[in-house]
Amino acid sequence: MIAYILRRLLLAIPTLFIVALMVFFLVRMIPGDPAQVMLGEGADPAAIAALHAELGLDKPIYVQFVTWLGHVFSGDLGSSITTGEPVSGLLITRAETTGIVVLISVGLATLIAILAGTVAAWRRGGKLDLAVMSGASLILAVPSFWLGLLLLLVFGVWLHWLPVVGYIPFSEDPWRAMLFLILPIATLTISESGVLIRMMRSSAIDVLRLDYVTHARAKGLSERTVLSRHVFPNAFAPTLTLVGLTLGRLFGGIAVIETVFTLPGLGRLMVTGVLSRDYPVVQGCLLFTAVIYVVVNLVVDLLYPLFDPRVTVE
Amino acid sequence: MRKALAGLILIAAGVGLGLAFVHPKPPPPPGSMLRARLNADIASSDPGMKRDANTDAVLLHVVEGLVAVREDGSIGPMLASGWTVSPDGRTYRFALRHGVRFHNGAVLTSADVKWSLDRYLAPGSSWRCKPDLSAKGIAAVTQVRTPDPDTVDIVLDRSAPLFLPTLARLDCGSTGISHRASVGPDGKWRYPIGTGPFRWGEWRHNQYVDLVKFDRYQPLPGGTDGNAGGKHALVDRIRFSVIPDGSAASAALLRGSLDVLDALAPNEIGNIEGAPGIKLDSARSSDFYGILLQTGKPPLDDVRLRRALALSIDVAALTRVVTHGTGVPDSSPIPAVNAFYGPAEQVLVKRDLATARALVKASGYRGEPIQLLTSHSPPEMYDAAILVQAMARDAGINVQVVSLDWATQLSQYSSGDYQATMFGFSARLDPSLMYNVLIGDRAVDPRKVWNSPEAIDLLHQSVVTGDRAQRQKILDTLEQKFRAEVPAIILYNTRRVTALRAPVTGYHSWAAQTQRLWNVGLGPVGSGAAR
Repeated sequence: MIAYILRRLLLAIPTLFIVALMVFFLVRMIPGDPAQVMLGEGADPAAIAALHAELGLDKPIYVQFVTWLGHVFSGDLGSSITTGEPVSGLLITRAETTGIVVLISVGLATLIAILAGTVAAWRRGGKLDLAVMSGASLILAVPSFWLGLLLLLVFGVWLHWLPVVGYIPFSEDPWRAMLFLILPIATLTISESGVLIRMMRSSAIDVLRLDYVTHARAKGLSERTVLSRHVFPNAFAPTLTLVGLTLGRLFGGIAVIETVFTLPGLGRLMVTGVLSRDYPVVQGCLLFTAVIYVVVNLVVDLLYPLFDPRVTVE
Repeated sequence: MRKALAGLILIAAGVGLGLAFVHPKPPPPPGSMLRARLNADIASSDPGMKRDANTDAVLLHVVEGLVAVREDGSIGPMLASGWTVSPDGRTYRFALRHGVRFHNGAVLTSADVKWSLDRYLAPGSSWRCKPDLSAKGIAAVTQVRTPDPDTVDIVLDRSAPLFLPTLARLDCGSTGISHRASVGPDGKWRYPIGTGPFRWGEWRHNQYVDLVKFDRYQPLPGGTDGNAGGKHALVDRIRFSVIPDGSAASAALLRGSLDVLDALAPNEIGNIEGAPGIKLDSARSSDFYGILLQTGKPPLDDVRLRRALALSIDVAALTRVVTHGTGVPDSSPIPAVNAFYGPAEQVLVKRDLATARALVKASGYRGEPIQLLTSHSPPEMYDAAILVQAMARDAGINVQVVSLDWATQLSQYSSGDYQATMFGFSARLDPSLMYNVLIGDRAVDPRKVWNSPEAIDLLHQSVVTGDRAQRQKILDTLEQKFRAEVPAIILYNTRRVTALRAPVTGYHSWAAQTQRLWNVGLGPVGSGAAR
């Protein structure tokens, strides 16, 4: 097991190097100049040139890359061009917010998907199945920002139950922090549950058709036992893969949710970084997302054997 | 199934009840904190250096300059109680006001003024007004003298009637005077220690900027008057929250999480107007939006085609649609709210398709595509580009809209690498400064679209002439030449709309587009009507 994990981690190094290389050069291929954005529309060309020199943007691009890579290997992702804050510090702070929202949302969405998807498959073609599938399709059709604004309007503006803007770090006051996170978590949970429900239902239908399920029923096992002990473990593996991919995707990309709810998360950091051409921030965010992808995929692969006995880490 | 349903209902009821009890802490008591919105984070805390309009608006509560711009665009005293100008117009002597203190308790002296000016004009400085106060600008500052602690002399290399307006410019941070402790021992900027009615509180990047009431502030007499006049901190704290999404900001205002929602997008006004407990305040802005044209490249090097494009646009209709009826159609680079917006400037270019088509034909234009760059910053620019495309088609001009993000559009604009671009220029209160964004030597500065020697000379004359009537005459001549040569097509000036919660008192929008939260208080609900 340990050898497998080490092998996977070693294989991640070239992946991350290629990501770093691509990220560095692709970001610089986007037209636009960070110095110009910082100094504004009427800035003096001499001031722009001076800021280039100050930021090291006047050096040849390969020199910039080697310098940046050297710093990355020593754990220094550089400083934000715009704010001067260390990128690693920014990532840690922002990852806390995004991480809490994403982990809780995906966890809840997975639970909902397991229950709703399995029940829909079990009652395939019935009213319950129709209701679950209609709900899932509706969720898939609704853009997350619209859903977020709707929840904001209902629970924030009309009912006054929850705050609509602002954020308190979890480390400062966890209880109040959660109040600010309920709406983003609810939005993301609903948005992500649609596809997971469909996947879980589809897998469960496949499994329900298999002979060993018929055999289990023939033995006189209750439907609850059949579903929980025989159908769920075998049907969950494909959904788990999707959960892994969803986690990786969301860690780097809930910018829309973060913008609607004014959460200082990773997605908003990256969008702001791209718009202001804050190269170190964009590079740091993308590298961080790549690392998360690698780690989440590794964890998912390690979890497979727990659900599907046919799979082993070897 | 019924059990499960009943369980879900019970859980939902429990959560609802729980939320009702654990409702987030109520907002601070009235009068203690005024909550305003920024649509993006500020660029820095260093006045006039790394900046944008949001940065200027926040920092002008913290720092003050020797002089400041008044509501009508004239210049009034701020840290200086008065000034005299030498007969040759080269030396300005400022007498500092007595009793003015920095936020760290230090008394303002001429040495502080010299320190700040030297820092602004230092070789590595990126201060916005540095090029204006150089040999290539209106006049170079050759010396800053401090004959005594209460007097500052600024010596220029030549006479410059625009010197004081330049010092007062908002985009230059009003040449705010900061205490030297604003810079750390390593020479790096820490935070502004100014003399304004609010002192620097806390800046959480991309979340909020907090300013705290400065108890020892010495206000000038009078009330709100531009960036000058009497300033009083009527609340203990101001929080500028960064809320990028307009709909979320509107929801926050309706919910009571915001008191002041400045720069309401035209398409959001309908959602806010008439809502209980909300009032609107607005003012015409001293800005302009239009189309910049590259006159050096075909086919737009032919003035007949440029005139045809201008005549194909129904400026009034475009303005009405794009700004949802809030903007002012304008064909002059001088905004309608400006005192120099005279009869020559007031003439609106009317749509004349017959003449436009004739000019297109005479120019020999054969329908080659003309790329019009635009962006969604603000969204109205994109809408305007689409309308221009449709209107130009009626005159036989093939405009193709290219939508870019702001940074890319800014880069193209700065390098002059485009055929036509939609562009907006934020408020500048002096008419010469408005023309200055268009006129200049393109070989030196590719951003300039109008590089005729005559226009450059007229702009220079408008800058060095102090006499108002003479200036109006020069600007009128410039206007006529602008309309004849069409290096750009001006479309409209915007109207700045601010939504306020009912308890907010004393808020006034103004032409310079910055939110001023001094003299703004939080009274009981129903009190204080906005102007």
